[in-house]
Amino acid sequence: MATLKINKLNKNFGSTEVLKGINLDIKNGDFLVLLGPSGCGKSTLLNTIAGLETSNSGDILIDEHVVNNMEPSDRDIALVFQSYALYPAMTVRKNVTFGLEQRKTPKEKIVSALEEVSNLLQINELLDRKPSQLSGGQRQRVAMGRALVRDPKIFLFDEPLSNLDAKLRVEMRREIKKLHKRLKTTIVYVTHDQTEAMSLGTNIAIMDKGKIQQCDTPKNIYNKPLNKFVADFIGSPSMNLIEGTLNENHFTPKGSADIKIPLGDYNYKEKVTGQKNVYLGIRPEHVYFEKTNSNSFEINLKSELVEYTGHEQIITFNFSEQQFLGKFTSTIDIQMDKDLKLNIDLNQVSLFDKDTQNRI
Amino acid sequence: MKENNMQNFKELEKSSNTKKTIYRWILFIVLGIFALYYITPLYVMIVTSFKTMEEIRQGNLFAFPNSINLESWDIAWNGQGFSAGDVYLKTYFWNSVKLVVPAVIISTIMGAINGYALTKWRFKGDSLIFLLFLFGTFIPYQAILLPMSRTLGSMGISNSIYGLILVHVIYGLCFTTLFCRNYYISISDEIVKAARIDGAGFFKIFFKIILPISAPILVVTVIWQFTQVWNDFLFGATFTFGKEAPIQVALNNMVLTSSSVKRYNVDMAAAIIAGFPTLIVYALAGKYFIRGLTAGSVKG
Repeated sequence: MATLKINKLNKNFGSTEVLKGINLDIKNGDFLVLLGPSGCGKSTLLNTIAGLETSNSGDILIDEHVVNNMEPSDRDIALVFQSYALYPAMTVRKNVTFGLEQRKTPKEKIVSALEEVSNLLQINELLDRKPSQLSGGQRQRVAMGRALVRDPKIFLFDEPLSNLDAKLRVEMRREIKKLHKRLKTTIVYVTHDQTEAMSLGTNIAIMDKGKIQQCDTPKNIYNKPLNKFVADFIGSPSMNLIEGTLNENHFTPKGSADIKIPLGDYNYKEKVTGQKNVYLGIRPEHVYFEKTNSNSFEINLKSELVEYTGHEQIITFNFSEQQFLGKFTSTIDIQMDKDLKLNIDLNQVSLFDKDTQNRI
Repeated sequence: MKENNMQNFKELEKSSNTKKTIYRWILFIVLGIFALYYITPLYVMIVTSFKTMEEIRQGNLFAFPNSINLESWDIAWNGQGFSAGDVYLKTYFWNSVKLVVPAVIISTIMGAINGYALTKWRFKGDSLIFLLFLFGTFIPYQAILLPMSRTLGSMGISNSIYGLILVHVIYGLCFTTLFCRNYYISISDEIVKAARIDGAGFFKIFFKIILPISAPILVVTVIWQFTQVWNDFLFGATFTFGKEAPIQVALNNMVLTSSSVKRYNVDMAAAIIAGFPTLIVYALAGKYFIRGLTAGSVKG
């Protein structure tokens, strides 16, 4: 149970800047997910929080105490690794209790902590086995047990589910969520899987090129992305970003002057004057055949391609020579190479400045 | 048409079977010839060592001895009881044991620690240091003889087993470091990180976590170092003389200083005694080598 604060953290590997002025404020009991493409610095940030890497400048505070120069073992954190990092020569029991033994915890306390954790994670039957005799899911449980048994202030997870197969991953994801609900410990969780991030986190910090692009609740990240990168990164298939100009609350796509999409009801961050080059962001699921609410825009688009995925189908349309995707339920028949009447829900759109890439 | 096809297939199958058998036989014959080629000298050594000089002079190199005659083994091991100029292996065999055991243990442990530090505790300039170790493996024996004898002399441990241990540890360290480093680089760094978070330090992680999974590479370094140190003649002959010499030097002296007649049976027995420990190490550790290779592999 703790708070974690990160102030202006910088980290270089030689001349390459990996972290550039990271600021984070994580409250007690928060589940923060660090999400970003590979190479964005999220694992480095986690390792720096853990104390396995040193920062070049900036502060890390756990419970308001600066821990910059503290050893990893003194920070009272636990880290679950992607490869699980179990000690191959030790039994599961030894793996789980090794940390407690290093801390000279009394015997009785070790025994009771081990029992509690092995009951919680259902690894009682595995205690005398070696890691090589366990399946992927079981190793994952043991790795979590090793973290849980010390009852640390903060849990750190470094892509803990990426080595599991799809079915097991969904199961373990749910278990981690349950565990957090039950223990209410502060968690920092690194992943590159957006479904994992959305479903687990109370907050998500989207990272790219060593910077935090947006740190907010999953709902706000999804519905009100702060910039083009976040809009494009979150969502599958990703948001349609239509290039065009914004003039007096009307959007005109590039290359077709006769289309005017009224954006008078859009929630502008600041007043826009004059003409501006922008991207109009429309999520594929906010396109409908029937008119669903009064604030929607009707448009005729030519269907070009269908991708059937079982529970839904993704249709590629031609939006004045720009690619435009729509997501529909798979129960309806949609004709290809035909102009179709579509309704775009204007309550759900986003606008981004073409030059700054930021939300307008 | 169909009948015809069936016939054809049968014939093809038959001819490919014959081919297989022929290739098999060629393989076995070639392997047999090589095996014979390598085993013959050993056979000659063993039978000669049990013969009397009378039998040897008859010139039947491959013939069995008339009776098992252990006298030459006794002479090779214990000597003939002369008060002066009697050369035998007993003292020198134990010299070599006293040399090889600490030299192998120290160089193996230090090589393992080096490899562990170079891969799991990366520091500034670590790759340069590794490069120097790598370079060290290319230094020929002859190049270090003179500087080494000066060093041993100034340290006051020339002509002693301790000096020889030092020489072999230093010379072998490059090899053991190279072996261990290449093995540890394949072990996940996350294991060490996890142990650091659990509160273990440099040596605790090494002895409790890394060393127990190092069996395969330790067997390799032990075999390598044992063979090198036990079979070494040059360092032994250069840095020691008289009663301090290791067995290979004694063997050389024994064979070359026979006073009147060449005692082939004694020479053969002495050579077998000198080579025996290496054979034992290969026979014993080879088994663990394979076992260790399969048991040590833990992947995520």
